[in-house]
Amino acid sequence: VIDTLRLTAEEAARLLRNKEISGGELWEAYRRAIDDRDGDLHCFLHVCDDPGGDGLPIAVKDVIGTKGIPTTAGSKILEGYVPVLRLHCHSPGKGRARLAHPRQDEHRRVRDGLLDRELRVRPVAQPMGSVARARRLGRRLGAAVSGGLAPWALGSDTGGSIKQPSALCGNVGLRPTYGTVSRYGIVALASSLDQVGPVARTVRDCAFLYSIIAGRDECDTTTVGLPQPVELPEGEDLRGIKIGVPKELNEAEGIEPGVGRPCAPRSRSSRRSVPRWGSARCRSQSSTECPATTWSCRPRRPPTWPVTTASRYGHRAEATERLEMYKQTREEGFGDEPKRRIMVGTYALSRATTTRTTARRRRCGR
Amino acid sequence: MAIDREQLLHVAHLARLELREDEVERLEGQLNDILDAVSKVSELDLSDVPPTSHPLEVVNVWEDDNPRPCLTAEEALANAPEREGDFFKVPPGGAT
Repeated sequence: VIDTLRLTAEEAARLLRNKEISGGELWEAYRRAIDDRDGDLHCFLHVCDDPGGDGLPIAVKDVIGTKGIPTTAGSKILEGYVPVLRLHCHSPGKGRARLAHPRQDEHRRVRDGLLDRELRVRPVAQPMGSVARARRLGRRLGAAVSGGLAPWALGSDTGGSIKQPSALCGNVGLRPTYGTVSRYGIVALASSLDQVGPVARTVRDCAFLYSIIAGRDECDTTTVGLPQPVELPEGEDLRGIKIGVPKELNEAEGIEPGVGRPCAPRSRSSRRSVPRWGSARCRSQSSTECPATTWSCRPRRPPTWPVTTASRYGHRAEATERLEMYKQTREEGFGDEPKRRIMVGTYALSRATTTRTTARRRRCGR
Repeated sequence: MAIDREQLLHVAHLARLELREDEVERLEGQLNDILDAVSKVSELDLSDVPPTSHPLEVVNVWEDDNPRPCLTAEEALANAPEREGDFFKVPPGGAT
């Protein structure tokens, strides 16, 4: 019996490799878990048919477009959209393309078949319009992993949708450095902030998935090749590792009790296996603290919801005239939050001050 | 920075959003709150801070100009709500 609540991706890969289980059995185990528990967890919008092969299943956030699989960002505006492009960060060829310099043999074989067999399950969202739509998507993704409905997942993080749900669901999530993972094919929220990243149950699984998705994609010119391959951590000894904590974030309002204290900088720890902690303040410290962290994502939405929605894909309202069609489509397709973001974004971009604001933003750590 | 009702309706038109009366009222307050929060950034002294446009050392990234397959017309049109031959079909113009 496969216990999907405890099985890590690494262990699943080992079982597959040693032929202790078949790809079909593994798939079936996760399908059963979804059938049993998703009625309560409400994680998935779409569950794919078994594509065959010996890869590991994976849950994919519904903003990450995949060829042939409905991708709607949980929103009515993208109703019925089925991407025709194959996404770089989890295309089957990618696993093979990177075989040129694998770090360990076991990973080579795993990588080979890994992404040919995606569970292709997608977290469902509330209808767009909930206050934290993207974050809820992320939370469902986190619930899918910690609830044993998928061994690992691909999420996206613009302002915390990987990090926060991972923290809340007891998973390991990574928001990769901007430019290390391709954004090609994802439904953008804020293109200069969005990053695709792994959510997993262990640090090693997380690093493993990251090693697969990271790298240069010619379709996303902001990406770069990694200077060196991702190394999977071998032990739990964190000596010598430094962790920086921005003071402003740790002093912000609303931090849960029990979270702030362990994160507070310590000069010297008595336990040898823990990292060194440091803290830093923003350079331009003043009474304004770190406003960039709270607003940077706000005024960005409109370029990412072009009029091509409704005319070329997605939901379209009945109308006899074009302008009316666009407006009516958006009325039917968008909830309050996307409307608000579109309004702020359009306002910001329509102002003559945009250049000045952008220059300031670039000095504020974006 | 403050946004009044007239500007709000203009911006809504630019964004092709049709707002109901209750949405206009709600958004006017919310947008001004957001703009207030954003304006805090102008309080920072940034004179000695160099701008960042990308966290990595990437400048003018170009690909080699090699032809490669792209979407076929059928693929490109696969999601079209309405099509006519090899074209996307939309309702007739009017003022946009």
